[in-house]
Amino acid sequence: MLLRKLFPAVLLAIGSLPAQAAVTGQVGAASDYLFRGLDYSSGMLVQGGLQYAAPNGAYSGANMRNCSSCGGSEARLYAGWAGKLGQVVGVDAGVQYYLYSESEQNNNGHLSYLETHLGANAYGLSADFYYAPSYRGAASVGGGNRDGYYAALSYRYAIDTSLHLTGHFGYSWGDGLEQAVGDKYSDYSVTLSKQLDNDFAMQVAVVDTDLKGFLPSGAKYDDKPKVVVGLNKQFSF
Amino acid sequence: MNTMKKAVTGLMLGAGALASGQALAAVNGSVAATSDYMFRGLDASSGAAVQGSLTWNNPTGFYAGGWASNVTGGPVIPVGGNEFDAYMGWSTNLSNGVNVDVGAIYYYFSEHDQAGGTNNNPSYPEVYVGASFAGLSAKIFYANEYFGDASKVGNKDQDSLYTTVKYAYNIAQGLDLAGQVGYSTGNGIENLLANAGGNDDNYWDYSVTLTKNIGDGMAASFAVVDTNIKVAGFEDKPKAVVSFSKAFNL
Repeated sequence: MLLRKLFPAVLLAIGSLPAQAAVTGQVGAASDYLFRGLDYSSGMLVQGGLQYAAPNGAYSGANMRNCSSCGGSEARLYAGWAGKLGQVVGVDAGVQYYLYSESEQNNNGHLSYLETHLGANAYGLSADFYYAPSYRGAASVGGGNRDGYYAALSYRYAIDTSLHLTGHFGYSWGDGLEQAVGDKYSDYSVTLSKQLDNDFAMQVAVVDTDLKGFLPSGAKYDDKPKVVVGLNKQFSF
Repeated sequence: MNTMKKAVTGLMLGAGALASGQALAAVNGSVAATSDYMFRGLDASSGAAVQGSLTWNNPTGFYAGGWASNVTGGPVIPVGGNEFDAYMGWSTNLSNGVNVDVGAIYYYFSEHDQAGGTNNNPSYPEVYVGASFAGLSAKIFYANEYFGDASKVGNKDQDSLYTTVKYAYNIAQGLDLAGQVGYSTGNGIENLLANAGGNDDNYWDYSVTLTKNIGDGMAASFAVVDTNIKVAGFEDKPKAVVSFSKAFNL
């Protein structure tokens, strides 16, 4: 039993699936991969993942996607715990590793990094805080601190049982983040999501940031709203 | 043509089994979205790709079809725009349970010259022979003009021999884990790697793929793909690839 708690993913992988074990998966395609408002794919995105959730609230999983800003592909490995405080407030604490295995193949340096996460939610409102000690690894080298912080607030409103509207605001800062991105910045989005038949869902979002400045070419840069559309499918084992 | 295609082919068999109540469908199709189009371990799309195929199957084992994808090329592969592969072959099950497959493919890159100026046509034909038994399969491909004029170096030969072996292990109903190793060799490989700054005439590619059948002919697959290629300015590292596909009968 202890072993099971320590290595749930391993045991599940070799096929000893108890009937109540919640292993779920997801695959999806979207017009762009936006990570906290930043365009990470410069084009179409295909992504998918697997997750194991234990009855006691512990979860772990992995997901992967194409990501031109990550050297080609990204794999995220994560684990955490989600549960309720009382009847209303949900809480979530976890850690995730952004594995950018291909970031080294063109001598771009090692971009992989670890991040911790704390969140709380109630009545459709959620607040999340993220901390990475060395944001985007080598992209934030340059002496001094390499930390990156992200705080986000979002509100999800149910228009009806299958149709939701979500407003989101995030703020990114920290010495490491400012090295990698160029500045601290805010990102905001509005997402309409519709649950479809057969565990399909679609989303349409408008995403923007307040990033302004100059590109390496010298051209002026002022981020403008991007419309993103996506379709995904959930499945279980 | 690629690992995705192979995964989809396996899926089509699954879809066929699901529909075994009806007569043998003559034409199978597939559509897929993948986070990267990997060709023998090499990145051919530098990002996501959408792909599709139609294959006509004759009860005698003869088949013919076409497969299409967007391509952008990558650090090693010299293509762009779109790829259309036309193929035909013959496949049959022997009495001892071994399946054999022999055929030919033409890789056609129609947009190679649309920008004008160059005539480095990467289109080329290839022949193959394969065999499979239970979860184990092997296939050998030979091309005498690998990636056509796009990888030509002087007047050197451009032959390519690719051997791949795959073992798929059925973990549970609808869930497979497959390991694959491939070896590419020949002057065509040397030319391709020379274009990328290398001087070897061979390389290995390897992958591990987890495929989950999610019903209605759909499948999700998760793979890690890598090669041992190490040339100036490019040392290949493992790539994570996720794909979503749907097989259907016309």
